[in-house]
Amino acid sequence: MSEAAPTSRPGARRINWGKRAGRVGLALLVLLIVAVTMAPVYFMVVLSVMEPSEFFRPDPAYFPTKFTTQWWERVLNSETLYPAFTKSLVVATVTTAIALVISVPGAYAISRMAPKVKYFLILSLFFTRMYPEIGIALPVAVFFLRMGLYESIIGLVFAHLILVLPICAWILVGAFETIPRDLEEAASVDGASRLRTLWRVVIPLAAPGISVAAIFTWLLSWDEVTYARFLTLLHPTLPIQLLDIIGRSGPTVVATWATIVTIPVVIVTYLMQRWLRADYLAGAVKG
Amino acid sequence: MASVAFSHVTKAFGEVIAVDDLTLEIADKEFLVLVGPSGCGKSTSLRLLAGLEEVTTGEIFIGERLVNDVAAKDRDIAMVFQSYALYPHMSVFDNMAFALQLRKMDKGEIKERVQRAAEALGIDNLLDRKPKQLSGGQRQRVALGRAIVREPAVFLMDEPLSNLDAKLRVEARAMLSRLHLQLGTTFIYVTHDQVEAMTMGTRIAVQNAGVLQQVDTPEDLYDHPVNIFVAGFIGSPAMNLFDATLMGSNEAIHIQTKAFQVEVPTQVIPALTDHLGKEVIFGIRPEDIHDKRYMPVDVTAASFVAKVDVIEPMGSERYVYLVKNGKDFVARVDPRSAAAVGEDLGIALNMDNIHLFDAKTEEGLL
Repeated sequence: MSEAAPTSRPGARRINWGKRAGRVGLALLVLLIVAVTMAPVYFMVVLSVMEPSEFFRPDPAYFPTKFTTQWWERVLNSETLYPAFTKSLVVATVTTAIALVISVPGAYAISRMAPKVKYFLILSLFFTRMYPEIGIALPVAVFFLRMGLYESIIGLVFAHLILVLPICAWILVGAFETIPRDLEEAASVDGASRLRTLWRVVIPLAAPGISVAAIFTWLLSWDEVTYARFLTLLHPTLPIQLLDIIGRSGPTVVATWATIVTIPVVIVTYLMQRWLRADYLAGAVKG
Repeated sequence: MASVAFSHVTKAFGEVIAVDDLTLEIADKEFLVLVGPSGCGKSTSLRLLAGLEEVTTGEIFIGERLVNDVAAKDRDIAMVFQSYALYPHMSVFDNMAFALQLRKMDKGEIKERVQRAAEALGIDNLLDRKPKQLSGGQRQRVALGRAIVREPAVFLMDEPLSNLDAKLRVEARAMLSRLHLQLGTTFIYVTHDQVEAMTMGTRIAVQNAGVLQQVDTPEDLYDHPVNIFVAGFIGSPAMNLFDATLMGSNEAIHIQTKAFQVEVPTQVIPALTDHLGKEVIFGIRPEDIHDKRYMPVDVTAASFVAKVDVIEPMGSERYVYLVKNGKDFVARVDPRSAAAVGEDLGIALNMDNIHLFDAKTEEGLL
């Protein structure tokens, strides 16, 4: 490992036009991808604050100049919003928490097994997802009715766990596999038990993977529709409520509801993204 | 501080025997180097001692304690890994303090110990950094520091210098030797590099294919290798080996190779009379082949002429690659030697330092 600074010759730097053009091209490409991805979001948000006169005409404005808060006022004053919002928030958050508590240790154990066993276990995780949800949602609903879990938050959490656990565990197995075994061995020689090694060394290092799993799990549960449709009737979740609104209201109100569904997604992703770093293992085992 | 003993230890991974019936006693405060080519079982031996692998059969003792069923965390050993295995999410200080924190040591004492070890290694200005902010040499010292602060019974090191560049490696070798003297702890050091083994070990254990070949001081290992493997492995350039036959009588024995014939000194004749007429391997180290003009006067010499193939001047000496009747070998000659490529050179073998091995068993005869 050389500690000397690289020698540079001032004035000798020539502008590499080919390289520069490549960079500009790359930037334009990124911009294009962002534009395509963000366009629906843009229209959704803009629609929710548009004056009716800007929208209800043959050529709706892409870049409106007149805005209104009336759609937001109407939706925020709606009695159906808050119970649905709260229910979805609680279900998604509890589902994520339980999914992590179950799959972090489980995935860690799987990641340390012999390759053949590991492959079999990961595959079998996905067997549970090989049938369509719509097919088992009704039997599950009937079963839940008998168990007294119908309409309940915990019932929906159970149903969502069926959905998210395999994916959550699969992401985490991948995350744990990237952590060098040497580090665990070093910890055990340092005097740490298996559990303490998991807590002090493995989990902190797997934080990026764990946050990806958490975001993914949360999102899956947050906008889940199939189970929610079958398992709730009187107290729907937010996506179910939104589906209902789509049938009953105009585009501007629907856009407002949709924006409300989206806002927590942005917040959760933002909160988790500080754990998403690419260099989290740097300095561990390479010279 | 403790002694270590392997007693008939075998480790099998499925069909593969990684360590075969290893019996080895390591005294307290010794610097023992386990050396051998890759895959010889040296790292596995160390990992068995560390508790990172379980023995298949046999017993391992640290001090008086049988540790077969003791978990790694309870063996009171410290280990430096080839990869360093620093915790990337912790600062240098926390990396070094981790083991002490686990033992619920008083915070003030942890700080003092880490500080002391860091100063000894010249890394006390780096304590707030993360491993990724360090150079390779610095990481290597942090890995050492993490082991030192423990004040363990035994230090284990698994190729700790192999990720350093050549210059740093030489410095680190001297540092480790000094550290061993200062700490007065048992060191067990695994390497594939016979130079590291020779320069640092108080004793060296040579392993090959899972089997322990020889345990000796560096000098004895070099001068009296017990078999062809050890003879060829220790020393650089390696010992020259020739297929040969022992000819002659009980009064005078000569070694007949395809390339040349030399007479053995009278004092070794008694050891060889049983092997008269049998096939042997004749070994001679490069430094025992001299340019005839610079031959030391007080040795038993056998001389002949060989053709110079390649010359490598090393400054203080020259490696001369010679060919005689299709057999090539290397001599380490005086830098004043006038040997020139393509020419014939009069050479003299120092017959006082010859090695002879049984061609079948590959065991040493002298």
